[in-house]
Amino acid sequence: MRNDPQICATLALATLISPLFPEPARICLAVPMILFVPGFVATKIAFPGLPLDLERFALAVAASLAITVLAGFGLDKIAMLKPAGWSIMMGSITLLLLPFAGWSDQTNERLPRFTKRDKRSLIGASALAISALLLSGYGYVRHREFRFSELWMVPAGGSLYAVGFSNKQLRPSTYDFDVLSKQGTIASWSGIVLADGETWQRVIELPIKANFPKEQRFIARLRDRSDPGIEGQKVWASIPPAKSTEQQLQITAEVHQPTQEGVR
Amino acid sequence: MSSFLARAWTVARPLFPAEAGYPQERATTADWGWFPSLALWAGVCIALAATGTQANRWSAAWASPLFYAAIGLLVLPISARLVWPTPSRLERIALLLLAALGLFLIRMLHEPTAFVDHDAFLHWATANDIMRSGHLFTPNPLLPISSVYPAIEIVTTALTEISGLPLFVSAQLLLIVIRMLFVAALFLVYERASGSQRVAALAAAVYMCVPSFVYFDTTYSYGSLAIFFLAIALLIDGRVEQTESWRPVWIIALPILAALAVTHHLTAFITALLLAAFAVVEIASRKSPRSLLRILALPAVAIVSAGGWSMWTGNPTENYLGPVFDQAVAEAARFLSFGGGRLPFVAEDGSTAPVWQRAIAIISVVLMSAALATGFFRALAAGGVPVLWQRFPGKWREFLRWDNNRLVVLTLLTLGYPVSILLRLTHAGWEVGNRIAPFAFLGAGVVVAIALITFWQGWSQSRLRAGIIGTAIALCVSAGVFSGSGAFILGSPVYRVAADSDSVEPMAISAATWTRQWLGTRNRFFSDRVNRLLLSAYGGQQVITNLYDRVDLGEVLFAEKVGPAEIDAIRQTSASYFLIDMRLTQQLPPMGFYFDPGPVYRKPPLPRVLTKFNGLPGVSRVFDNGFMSIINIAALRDATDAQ
Repeated sequence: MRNDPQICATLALATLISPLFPEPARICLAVPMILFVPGFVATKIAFPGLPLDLERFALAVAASLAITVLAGFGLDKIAMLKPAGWSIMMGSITLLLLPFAGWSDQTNERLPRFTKRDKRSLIGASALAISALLLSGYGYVRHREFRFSELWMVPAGGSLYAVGFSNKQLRPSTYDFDVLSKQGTIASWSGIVLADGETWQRVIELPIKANFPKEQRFIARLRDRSDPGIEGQKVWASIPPAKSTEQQLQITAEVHQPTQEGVR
Repeated sequence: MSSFLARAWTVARPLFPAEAGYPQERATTADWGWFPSLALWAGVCIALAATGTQANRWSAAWASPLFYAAIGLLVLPISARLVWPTPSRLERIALLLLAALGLFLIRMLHEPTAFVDHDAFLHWATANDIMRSGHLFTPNPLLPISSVYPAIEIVTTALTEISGLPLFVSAQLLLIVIRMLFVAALFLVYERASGSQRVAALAAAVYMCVPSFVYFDTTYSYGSLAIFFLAIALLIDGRVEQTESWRPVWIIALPILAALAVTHHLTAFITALLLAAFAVVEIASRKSPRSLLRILALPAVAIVSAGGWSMWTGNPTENYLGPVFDQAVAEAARFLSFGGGRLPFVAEDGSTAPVWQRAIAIISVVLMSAALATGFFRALAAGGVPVLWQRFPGKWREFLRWDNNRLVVLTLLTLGYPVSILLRLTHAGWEVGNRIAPFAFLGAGVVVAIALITFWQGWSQSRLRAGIIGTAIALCVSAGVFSGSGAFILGSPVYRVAADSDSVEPMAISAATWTRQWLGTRNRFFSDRVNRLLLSAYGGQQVITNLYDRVDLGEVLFAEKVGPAEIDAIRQTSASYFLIDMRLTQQLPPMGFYFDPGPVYRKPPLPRVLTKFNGLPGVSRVFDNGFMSIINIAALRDATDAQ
């Protein structure tokens, strides 16, 4: 096609500044610039003047992918394996290759036209295939074999612990939750109603005794009232005996602040 | 004795051709022919397969037969049409692409919204590492070799980084493009080798019988991109032969062979061997007008790039594949000397494939063998080797004459088919047999196609005969799907223990995602075969594997008690957390192992074995969902007095 060089150059130039574009525009640029354009220009250097047939189309895509792979190694070397690096690299390679390409006015072989009936068949085929994929995707997402509640208790710095639970029972549930030590109940909540997918969480302070010679264990217990027959879930924090004080320091060092918002 | 020889001679007669040529196609005009109608039919088949997939989620007994029938029904009319002499080249190509697309979409029904296949997780982890760190070569404990062969991850991350698309979408987009063009390239390679578009189209259709064609070779895995590059390398080799210019070598072949060298170890070496074989056969034929330099250029580039990359990265291929091949060969030798092997169709947990699947798989091997037997010498004859019936040369040296180097090499490549079948009958060689098949079928495709066109269909215009051949191909494609992917492509309606995609379900994904939110990323985690995939991909955790860490923490998890040896193993790996899935106690894994490939378990672990950590001071349980728990063992690991 006569406009091929201009189209390739425009796409390459647009790719150079693609990080500035909205996502739909970036998709329209990325797909041809990774899968086809650089390789297409390369085939125009390797086979100057020849039209795009099935063989050269396959070679163009393969060459494009190969160029992307090798460009990735180059970007790794210069620590630019990032969106901006990719945009600059793929746009630049195409622009660098363009002057060496041999274009001609020879038009690509025209494919025969589809009749109206053919078009109806193809549209029907596409609709069936897309519906099948959507049905499968819907079925896959809806398929949940296990109903469960997630319970956790993680260090939140010093003697503070984040406790919480999520309802993944596919129905609303009412929970009773308490935190215990050997000495008795530290905190207790009852009748917490959560819809499916909802989460309840708190940060509590555990009465951890310093230099205590025995293990200190604090247990968080969760009971789902709608499943009275099922034994409740438990998590716990075990503080080893004081002779291993150095370990406690290491445990504290491993504390990770929760990234989930809403922790109080 | 002479009557025996006469009978043997009669039996052998159909194996040899009377003449070297084959019937040519009779298409005159380029038109779409049956393509639009068969496209509609393919749409119906995909919808049937989707119905089967959904019914399988409801555990309907008819789901599996419907699903596999849909695959067969998709392929049957297309392959029957390809046998006919009348379709145009355009229609043949369109039908091949239709079959490839249809099978790809049926495969997508299995993972429509997110990765679920074992191998996809391995490469997803590497891609995540690239996007997180902005660098290549971050060690991937799930598959250490994948980080030094990162081509598919580079392409998908590039697509994702520029477009903003999710990695899963980028991967599917790439896979669908390379799958379609792989089939197109295969057609072009076969067309050039055979000189017939009819043979070429049928050969590409027969290639779809490869057990890994529908499922494994379209997974988000380095092999899927590599097999595409292999087909393109063969295509370029043929193209380079027809031109005097060096430009195609430098501008197209060199980057593609270099990219292949960093895509997949085994495919890169096999491509180099194939190109070298083409060159050797071309030199040996003493008929080539090309200079030695031109003949050797491409194989030299392929060998240097594949070997060079392997050496530069410390030869990980030998460590990774060496033991697998050694074991496979040893077991195959034992099998041949009646020392026992793997019972076909029986998984390690004792489950067996349905009778109809076993029957179709056996029939497909018989059909393929019959076609190969009747096609082998015909393909050689078509390549110019003088193996015509009753016209054999008097001296063996005269056999070393041929006109078509590529067809001769491809024909000899079919000898890999019985090897792949043999290896599939062994425990250790099953995987190797599966890996060899895509390469052996490069030859088998064209040999079977020549057999179908010169012997089974011949000059006949019979649509019935074409339909029977189409049915045979459809049976072989369906058999390839379930013998190559087991029940994985359809999936299990219920959770199965350590069963790769059958163990990937929302609860385990939610647990892995929880770790990212509450524990942060890059913690040293140990868990079973499937949960560690999820911990790595969804949780961003640094999982511990026997393959990378060289310590088997599975023995610690399944030990009766925690003693000095167990604590020592935990220390060696710097493990901080164990994710313990109590469901492991309910079943044996279908592949025999819960963690890394190794000894086969004959009994599931007892629940008390997995709960042995509960009473240990310093071991905290940080997460529990009623089935799975996460324990923090950092204090136990670091305790100076731990016993």
